[in-house]
Amino acid sequence: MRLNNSIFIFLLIISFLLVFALNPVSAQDTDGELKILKEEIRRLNQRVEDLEKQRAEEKKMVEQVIRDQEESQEQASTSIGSYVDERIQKFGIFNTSKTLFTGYGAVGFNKADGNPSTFSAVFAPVFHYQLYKNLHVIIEPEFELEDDELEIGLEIGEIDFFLNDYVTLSAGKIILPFNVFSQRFHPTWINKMPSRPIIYGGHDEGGIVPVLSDIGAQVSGGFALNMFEGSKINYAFYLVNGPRIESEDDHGEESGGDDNDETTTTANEGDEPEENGNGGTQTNLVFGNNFTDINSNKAFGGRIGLLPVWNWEVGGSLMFGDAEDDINFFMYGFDTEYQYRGLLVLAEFIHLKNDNVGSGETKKTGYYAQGSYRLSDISIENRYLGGFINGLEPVFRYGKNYLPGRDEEQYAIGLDWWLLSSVPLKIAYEFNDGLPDRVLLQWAFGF
Amino acid sequence: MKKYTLKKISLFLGLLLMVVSISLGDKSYGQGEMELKEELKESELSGADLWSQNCSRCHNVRSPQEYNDAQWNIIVSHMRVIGGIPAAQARAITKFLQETNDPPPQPIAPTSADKTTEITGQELILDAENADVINGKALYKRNCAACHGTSGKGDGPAAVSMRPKPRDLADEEYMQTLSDAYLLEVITYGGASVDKSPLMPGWGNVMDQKEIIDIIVYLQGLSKKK
Repeated sequence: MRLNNSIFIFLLIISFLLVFALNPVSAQDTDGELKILKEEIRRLNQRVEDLEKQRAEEKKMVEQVIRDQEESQEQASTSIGSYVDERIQKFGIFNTSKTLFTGYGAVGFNKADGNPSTFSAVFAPVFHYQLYKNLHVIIEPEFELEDDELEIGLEIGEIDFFLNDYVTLSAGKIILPFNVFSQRFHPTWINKMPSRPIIYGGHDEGGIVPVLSDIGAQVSGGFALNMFEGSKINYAFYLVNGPRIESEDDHGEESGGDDNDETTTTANEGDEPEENGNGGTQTNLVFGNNFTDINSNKAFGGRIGLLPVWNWEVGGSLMFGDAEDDINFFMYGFDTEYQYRGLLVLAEFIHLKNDNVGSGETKKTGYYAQGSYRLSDISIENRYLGGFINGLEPVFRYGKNYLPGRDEEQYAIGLDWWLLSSVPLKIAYEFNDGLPDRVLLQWAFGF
Repeated sequence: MKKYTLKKISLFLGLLLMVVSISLGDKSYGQGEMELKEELKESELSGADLWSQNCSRCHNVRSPQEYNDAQWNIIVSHMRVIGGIPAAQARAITKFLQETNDPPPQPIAPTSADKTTEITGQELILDAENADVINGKALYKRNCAACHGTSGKGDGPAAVSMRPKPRDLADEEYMQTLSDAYLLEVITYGGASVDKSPLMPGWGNVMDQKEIIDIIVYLQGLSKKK
């Protein structure tokens, strides 16, 4: 055993010697390198840790930036909202949420017998401004392309003061509540036909009166009645400048007023003025163009409407005054509207009587009835065909005017296709007696 | 002639004075919520009814979503002048339009069980026994009948101009295809929430879940009556 141990120790010493002899690096060098390697590894580990920390910090920073941005946006939004609210409360007059821009318009095409066909366009924006909770301003200019010029008019320019639940005071250029067409049905997207009823000069000539508007003051309101469902009564009384006169001598020349299709009730060009046998001449009234009154005579008028049930209204209107000294006029009318599901029936009657220049009287009477039926009750399996059919609305209108020396009569049939609830495409044909027949197309819109 | 004019002016001012005097003794323009509720109670016509009745007399009704709250306030005030609408009715119409012109700002899916409901997985099952069908009928008449009609057939006064037409809720076959959860969602959040007509407003701002469930249970009975 001792010998073996000796041999083992000997071999071990020989091995060490050989190792040291074969390896040129000293033990001191190896330790140094190990240290360097260890240091390198430590530095690398440190670097990795630093990078990870840096990455985590950057991630935190990005998240913080996103959070900050979101918070600042939210704060800005809240801040702006609070600021605006505060401003609104403080200065109600600057409240931009109290303004509204609506309106209507139409592009039309018509072809009358014996006349060239033509396109036409009208655009009537309506600007609303709520000055205070019970004080509103409404301005409705109207732009119409006609002949070779752009006609600009002011259809409405009024201020409304809601005095209380039953009285509203209005002043300015107001649409007159004489019957209902002028005030409620004349906008292109509401009128079922492409043209106005014949009593309102729907053929761009003739008629009893135009769509009535004037400058003055009005008091109006409505009351619910405890009769049947939706029973109520409404009223409106006004005092306005009233009409001017337009008289024609034996040669058909005008002696006053404007020859404007929209505003005059003059006879057609070329018609013989009616002699009354006492030296007087037929005198026509010009409504709505008396911006600066030519005299101190104001016109007074009003309408009372009664709805026995919610879907049926009957109304009576009157208007009277002096168009000029010794030229009195008196006009009365009746109207009724009935609506049941897709059916809408309108009918109006107007009688106008005015003194002639000189002596005698001019009398005009007219009426119309219109019925339309929206085919919304028809059920068709095919969704698209059903949608198309449900959007159709046939319209029929009959009207007649009794004018000095001549009559006008009209049967009109039409078909509306409602693209949207305020965008109809209309086509109609008018069979006229005393006026040329016409075909009319119109693309109307309300917004 | 000047005497004539003076007479007319006097007549106008006299009438004006008379109307003003009568009405000054009555309510003022601004009225609170409680008074509005009292007015509605008296008239028994809801804002939805009055909206469809007053607007459709002259033109196609416009969807509540077409304008914001302030704009509806201005529009209805203008219509009050044009159409001679009584002030209390105009306020009720404005309130209805303002309540239904925005979808409620809530998550769509029902996430918690109401006292009268149970949720089994994704399916909501109404506890019909605890629902107040009479209340559901009254709420339906008040809020839904203007478009869907009192019989539920989609023939209310406002339905005439609507495309697509309001659904026939009396159609049992169709109603059986609709889950309770779907009905709750469409009534609460409106047609757009289930890819149906955006003309159907969300009623979550007007009625609470219990009331809507009352309506659903009433509707389920309505379709079976057919």
